[in-house]
Amino acid sequence: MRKPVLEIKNITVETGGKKVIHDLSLSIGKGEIHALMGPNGSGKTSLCFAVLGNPAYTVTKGNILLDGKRITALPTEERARRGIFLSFQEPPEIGGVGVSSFLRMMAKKHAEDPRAAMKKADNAAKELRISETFMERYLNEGFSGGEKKKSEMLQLAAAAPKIALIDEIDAGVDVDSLRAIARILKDAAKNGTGMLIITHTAKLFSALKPDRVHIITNGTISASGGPALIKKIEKGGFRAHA
Amino acid sequence: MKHSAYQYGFHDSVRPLYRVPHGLSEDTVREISAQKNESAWMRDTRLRGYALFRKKPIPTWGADLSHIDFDAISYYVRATDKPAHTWSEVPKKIKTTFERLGVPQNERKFFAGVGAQYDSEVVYHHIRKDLDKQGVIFTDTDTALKQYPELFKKYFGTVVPIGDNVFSALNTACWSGGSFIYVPKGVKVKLPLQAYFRINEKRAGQFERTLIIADEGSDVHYIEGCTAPTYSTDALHAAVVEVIAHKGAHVRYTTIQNWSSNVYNLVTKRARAEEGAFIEWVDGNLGSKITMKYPSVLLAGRGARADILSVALAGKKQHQDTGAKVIHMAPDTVSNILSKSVSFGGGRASYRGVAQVVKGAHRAKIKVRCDALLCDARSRSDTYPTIKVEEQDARIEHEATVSRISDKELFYLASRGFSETEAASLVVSGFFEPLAKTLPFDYAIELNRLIRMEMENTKQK
Repeated sequence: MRKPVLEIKNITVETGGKKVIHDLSLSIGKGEIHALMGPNGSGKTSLCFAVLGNPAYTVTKGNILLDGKRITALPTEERARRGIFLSFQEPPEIGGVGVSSFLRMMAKKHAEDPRAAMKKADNAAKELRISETFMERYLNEGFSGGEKKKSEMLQLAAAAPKIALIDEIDAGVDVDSLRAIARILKDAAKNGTGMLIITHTAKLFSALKPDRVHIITNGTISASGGPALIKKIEKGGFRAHA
Repeated sequence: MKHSAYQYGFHDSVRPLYRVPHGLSEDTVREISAQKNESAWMRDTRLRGYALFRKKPIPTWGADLSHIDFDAISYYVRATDKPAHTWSEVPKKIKTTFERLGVPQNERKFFAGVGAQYDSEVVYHHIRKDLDKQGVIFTDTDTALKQYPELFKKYFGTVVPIGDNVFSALNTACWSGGSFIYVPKGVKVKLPLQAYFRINEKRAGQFERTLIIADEGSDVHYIEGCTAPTYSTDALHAAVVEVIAHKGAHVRYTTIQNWSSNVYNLVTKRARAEEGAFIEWVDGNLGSKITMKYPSVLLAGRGARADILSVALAGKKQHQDTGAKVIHMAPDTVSNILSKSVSFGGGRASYRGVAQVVKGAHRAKIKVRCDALLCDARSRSDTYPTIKVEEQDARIEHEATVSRISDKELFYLASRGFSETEAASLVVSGFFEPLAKTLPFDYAIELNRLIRMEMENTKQK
C-alpha cells in the first residue's frame, strides 16, 4: 500500500460534553476513493468536523496526520491551506459575495496556478449545467439543496485539495446532476485528490466506484471492505454490520 | 519608524503660505473674508453665520461632541496661492501627496473632471473641454463666487439655511473651498466628477462648501473622497453640501469618507428635488473619530424621488452616527432609505433617521431599511428612527435587522482557508455589496481593500 496522505489514528471526539467518535482509525492515500456509510447520527459529520478542526469538536484521544505531520492542534484555516477540503452538507449563506468571485478567491488561496484552477471550476460548472446568472448569485443565498451541492463541487474543483471530505453530496440532487457530480469527483481523484465520500445511501456508487468502503456505527468503524460491502448493506442494512 | 495601519496617515512638510491664528472670533471671520477679497455681501453672510454659531448650542442628542476644543483649531490654512489647472502647476510636495492618493492617475482613467482640496483651499481643478463647451461649470466654490456671483447668490444657503444647525452656522462663517457645479438644461454628464479633500495641517479645520445645481432634465454624478494624517490632536471637518435638482434632473452624490481616527466629521448634506427630479445620496463612512451626518432630501415637487444609501463601518473608538432624512412636501413623492452598518472592535454605529410627510403630500411612499451587523459582543448598534406623517394615504415601511457573524459562517470560511479576520472582512464586504455596486469598479476594489485594512488593524491592537 502507498503511503497514506490522511491518517486518522484512534481518535475520540467530544462535542458539547458528549462523545461522538470513539477510537476511530482511517487512512486515505493519494487519489483513493473511500466510501463512509452509516445511519443518521452515527458520527459521519462529526468525523468531518473533527478532521477540519471545528472549534466545537475536541479530539480527546488519538491523532490526525496529513502527509505524516500531525495536524490535530492546527486551526481550521491552516488545515485547509495544507490541502483538506470539506464539502458541507449544509453550507451557510454568505451574503453579498458572488459565487464566481468566491471561486476566484479559493483558486488564489489554494492553487499554484489560479488560472488553471479557475478553468477546472469552469469545466465543472459546464458539467453541472450551471448558468452564468447562478455564478453571479450570492454564495448559498436562497440556494436550493441541489444548488448548494453544486456550488460546493465548483469549490472542490477550484481548490484541488489533497484530501476531500464529501458530506452527503447526494441529498437533494437530481439524477443528472448526481452523474455530473460523480464525474467531477472521479476527475479530482484522477488528479490525486484522496476522497472520503460520506453517505447513508448507495445512490452515488452506481456511477462512482469506491476503492474502499467503511461502515460507521455509533462513532466508530464497524466494518471495512471492498465495493462488495455496498451490496451487502443494500440488502441487509447497517445493523447487520454493527 | 512607527507603523501606522491607516495607509493615508502620512503628513507632508508643506509650510502653509498663510494661516489665521487658532480659535475663532469675529475678527478671524473678517480676516478670512479679507484674505479672499470677498464682496461685502459674503463678508456679512459670514458674520451672520458667526453670530449664529455663537448662539446655537452644540447638540447633545447624538454622538459625544464635548471634547471638541473650538479654540485650538486653525480655521483657515492656505498652502497655495490659487488653484492650478494642470497637475504640473501644483507645488511638488502637494502633487506628490495626491499622487500617493491616486488622484491624478484616476482622473485620466474615469473622471470627467477633478478637484483637489488641500487644507482650506482647492489646489487643483480641471474639467474636460467638451463639458466646458456645453456650459457645465465645475470649479471650486471660491472661484464660483467671483466668476458667477448671480448664480451663486441665487442658490447659496437656500437648501441649508445659515442657522440650520451650529455646524452649518460655523461653516457659513469660515467656509473655504469645496466644489461648485452647474449643469445646464438637458446636459447629461456621463462620467462622474470627482473631488478629493485632504487635511494636512495639525489641528486644522476644513470647512468646504459644496453647491450643486442641476438644471431641468440634466444628469450628473459627483463623487468625493477624503483622508487626513493621523495626529494625536483632533481635527474638525464641518462641511455643508447643498444640491438643487430642478424639474426632471438626476443627481447622484457619492461620498467615501475615510478620515483618520482623529477627525470629527460633522457634515450637513441636503438636497432639494423639484418635480420629477431624482436625488441619490450614496454615503460611505469608514473613517473618522466621530461622524454625524444625515444626508437629506426635500421632496419639493410632484413625483420627486430620493434614494439614500448610508453605509457605516465603526471600529475601535469610532462612533458613526449616520442616517438619512426625507421630507415629503409634494404629492406622489417616493423615497427609499437603506442603511447598512457594521460595528466591530468595540465600535458604535447608530442609525438616526427622519421620515416626514407634510400636509398636502398625498400618496407619499417611504421605505426605510436598516441592517446592522455586529462582529463581536463589545460593539454596539442603535437605531433612532423618527416618523411624522400628516397625510392618511401615505405608505410607510420601516424594517430593521441586526445580525452577527455566526460560528457556522466562520467555520465554513475557515475550512476554505480564510483566517478569522479574513472571514470577517469578507462577510463585511459582502454586507456592503449594495454600496460597492454603485461605485466605479476601481473604487469598489479600493473599498474592499479599505475594509480589510480596517479590520486587520483592529485585530492587531
